[in-house]
Amino acid sequence: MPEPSAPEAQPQKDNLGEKILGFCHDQYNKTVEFAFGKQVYVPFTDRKVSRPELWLGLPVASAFITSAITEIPIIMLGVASKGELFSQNPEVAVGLGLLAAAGGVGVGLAAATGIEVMSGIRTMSEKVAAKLHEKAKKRYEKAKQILGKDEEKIMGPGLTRGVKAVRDFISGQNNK
Amino acid sequence: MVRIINSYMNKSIKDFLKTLLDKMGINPQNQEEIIKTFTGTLTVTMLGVLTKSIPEEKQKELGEKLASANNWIEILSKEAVELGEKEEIVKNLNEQLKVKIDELIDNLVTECPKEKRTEVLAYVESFSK
Repeated sequence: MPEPSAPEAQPQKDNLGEKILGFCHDQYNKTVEFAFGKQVYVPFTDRKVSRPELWLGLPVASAFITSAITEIPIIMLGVASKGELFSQNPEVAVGLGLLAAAGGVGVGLAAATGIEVMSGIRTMSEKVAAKLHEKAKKRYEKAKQILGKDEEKIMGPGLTRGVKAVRDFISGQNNK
Repeated sequence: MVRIINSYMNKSIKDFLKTLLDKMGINPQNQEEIIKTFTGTLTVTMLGVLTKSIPEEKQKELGEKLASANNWIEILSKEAVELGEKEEIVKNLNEQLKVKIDELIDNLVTECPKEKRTEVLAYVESFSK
């Protein structure tokens, strides 16, 4: 009868060592961040931004997001009332449409600026950010359809220039 | 400058850590990883301090020089001393390295099992005297 082979010696679990190693890795990462600055990729733009850029973008993004959130119900009202109100009270529909357009622009800008910030601080996954971007784009297009006019007539030259500047900036970053 | 860096990078800190980790009962594989990671932290700390001491307009040129060299610390030390405030660099370097070493020792002492803590603390104190 063959003798049973001796069980292989298992290395002893070293929880303490692993815990300290975890601390060392964390310390190393923080040091790299301190020494060279942390940079993160921004989805859709194929570029990296540094932490100071993100912090600068945050108040701007939150202002736009707040404005966009308050405008969303108005957009919905504008869309829902299109058929009935537009035939009977065109001035109401135009008024709602103007607000909706502003809301659309607000959401668009919030998405443009917010995506960078939110992705940078990693509170939003790329997938969710993409959905927000898509939603904002649709709302903006819808708002434009309601009025059937060009951007400058809807928003005035000042706001149009601002939106164009943001678009050009993002498209410039995409092409880098 | 190089002497100061070497005093941190020479065997003493590695020996000190190895003995400390031995006393705490950390296995050799983890000891090696901990020392490697911590040495990396010290190197990055030095690179960070030295890079920040070099004027921005000189950094591109220096970056090209470093790209084809292995002895980064020596090159950076030389450039930093030539271009920056020597005393300020040494002061920053000492402060930053001390912070990192203190952080690690604090963590080791905190995590150390109670029954071994007295021995570990006695060793830390004997080393720092």
